[in-house]
Amino acid sequence: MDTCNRGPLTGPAETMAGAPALRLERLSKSFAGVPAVSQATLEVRRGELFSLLGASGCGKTTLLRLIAGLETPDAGRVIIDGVDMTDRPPYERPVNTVFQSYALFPHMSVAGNIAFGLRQERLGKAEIRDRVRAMLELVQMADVGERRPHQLSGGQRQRVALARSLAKLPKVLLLDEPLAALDRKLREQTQIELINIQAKTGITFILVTHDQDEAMSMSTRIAVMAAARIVQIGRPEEIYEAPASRLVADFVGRVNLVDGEVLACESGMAVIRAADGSGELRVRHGTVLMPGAQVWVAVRPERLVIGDAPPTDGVNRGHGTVSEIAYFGDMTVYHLASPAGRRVRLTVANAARGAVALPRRGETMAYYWAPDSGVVLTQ
Amino acid sequence: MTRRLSFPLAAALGLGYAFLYLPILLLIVFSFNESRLVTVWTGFSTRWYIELAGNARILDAAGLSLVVAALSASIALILGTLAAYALTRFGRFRFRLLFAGLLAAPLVMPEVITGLSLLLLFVLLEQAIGWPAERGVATIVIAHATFATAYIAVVVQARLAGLDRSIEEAALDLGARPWKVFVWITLPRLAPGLAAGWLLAFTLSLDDLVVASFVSGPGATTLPMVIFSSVRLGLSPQINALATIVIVVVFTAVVLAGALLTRRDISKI
Ligand SMILES: Nc1ncnc2c1ncn2[C@@H]1O[C@H](COP(=O)(O)OP(=O)(O)O)[C@@H](O)[C@H]1O
Ligand SMILES: [Mg+2]
Repeated sequence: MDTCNRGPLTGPAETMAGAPALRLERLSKSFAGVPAVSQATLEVRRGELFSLLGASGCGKTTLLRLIAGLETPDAGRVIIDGVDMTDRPPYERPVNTVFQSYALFPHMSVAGNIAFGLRQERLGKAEIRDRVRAMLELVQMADVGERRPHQLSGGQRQRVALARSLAKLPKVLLLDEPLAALDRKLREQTQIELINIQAKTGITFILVTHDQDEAMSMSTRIAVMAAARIVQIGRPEEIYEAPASRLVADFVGRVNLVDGEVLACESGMAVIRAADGSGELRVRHGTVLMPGAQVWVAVRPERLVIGDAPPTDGVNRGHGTVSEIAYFGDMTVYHLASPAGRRVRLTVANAARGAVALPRRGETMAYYWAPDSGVVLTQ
Repeated sequence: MTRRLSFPLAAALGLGYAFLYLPILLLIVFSFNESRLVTVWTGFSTRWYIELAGNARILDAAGLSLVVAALSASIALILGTLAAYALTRFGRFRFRLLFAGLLAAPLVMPEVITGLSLLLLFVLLEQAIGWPAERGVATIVIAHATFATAYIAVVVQARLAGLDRSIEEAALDLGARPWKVFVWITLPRLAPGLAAGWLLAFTLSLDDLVVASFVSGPGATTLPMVIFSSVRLGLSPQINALATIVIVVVFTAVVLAGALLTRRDISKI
């Protein structure tokens, strides 16, 4: 698509080749003394589908509004496509937003909504009409152009909001929980469509979500936010496999956490004594840990294996009484009560029907995990 | 679903409405009375309406009243809308609550005081800068605009507070400058409130006797002033006819304003 068709302020002359689509430098914003975004620094490359993931109230919407220019930062810079836009008003920034409430104009038709942004660019009538039609087709809404927003379903409104923001071919498209109001089936379908549209248009997407599955399955990279701060940025598998802190480990996916003390750390293998007295744990760890350090060991539930460890490396073993079983079809989740009183979460993929005789509630179950399945967290 | 009213409730309702509307109903009925004696029914006739149409004094006053009402409502519409916009959209500036209270105060101010204070202002102004040279249409329009501004500000404020702020932000986000957002997004959303406010201000001006009596001069007599002075000379069927017309105009305006304000709102989607 032609991305040169923008207003004079964002013409090609100002665009620096190779600059990231968006760079935030120590961006901060407080409301009445309470920080909503604190020292946010990140870089989003062109064509990325970048997610901001975090619990409700952690500052995701505020960060998006700072990028869009709808909120003025207390400190920090917003650099869009190589141009410092910190002091520019929203109507001069080459970004568009899909609002959480969609914020369609109720007194205009669907086509009127989509044309509104194009009219601000002094495009010819014919060109506006063509672009509106192209956008309606892109979101598969070609036959409802004349309807009013209140005559549409939630999913259709969401598409119109998307088409309206995409019509201006922004450098960065900001989406604030665009799928939160949709029911589950529609949400999954729309996730795929969003990915397709992003690939087709090549526009950089920044997606706000509190749904970790959504962030994991859709994004090229994720910034995890907690309490107004960005706590980790990485590819989905990095965030999942190598969380930087307990907070991230706990928020992204489920995790079994054991606190303990480092006894030794040699050639990448850390020996850790669990604080609850359940024994020693061995974790293959990339960095050097000082003996005596207080750490947490995180193991994902699907990395626990039912049964006794093979005798050759009989480490990281445990057992517990099955207290809860939840069957999800594709997998089954077990909760075990360990002798030390800890709750252990364990998932088993149901790969073959009725293959193994699985334990029942109240039975004792042994498990183990391999040293490279765990992660040592220092914070 | 419509529910049947129980008898005591219906009776109470009937009594209430009778209390409100019986006098008006009587006035309307007697405006079609043939007799010159206001309280004796002799037969149906429209002669008083025809006589009214030939009464230059009353027609002049009616014309003046309509002009004053339209002008003052329009001035109040602009001032009241700006005041309401400032109060709801510019956040928490200093003394915001005080300003909001001061804006609504004229609603409860006794008319006698409003009239007196405006008269005082006009007299002082005349002494100081020689304007207004004489009291008349201009002073009545200003006086009516003063209290109508308060009404319109209150109506528009309520409407603005109910508007979804995010659609204005969406317009900014799509590249519209603030004045374009106001013209293309905010104003259309406010239109029913503005129309209702204008109609209310119009009827308030049309009704007003007290304030107008204070600030008008010999050359300008509004309709309520004519009615009041002729009634002091005795009831006349011609005034009944005039009053009936005024009632119809005011009633239509109020119903229209009410309909505009309660119109099923499509903003909440
Ligand atoms: N306009 C505002 N005025 C005051 N506080 C605000 C405003 N916007 C957001 N906040 C506060 O900032 C924090 C972050 O909000 P938000 O960015 O909406 O979080 P999220 O989108 O992650 O749920 C919340 O505590 C919220 O109450
Ligand atoms: Mg939010």
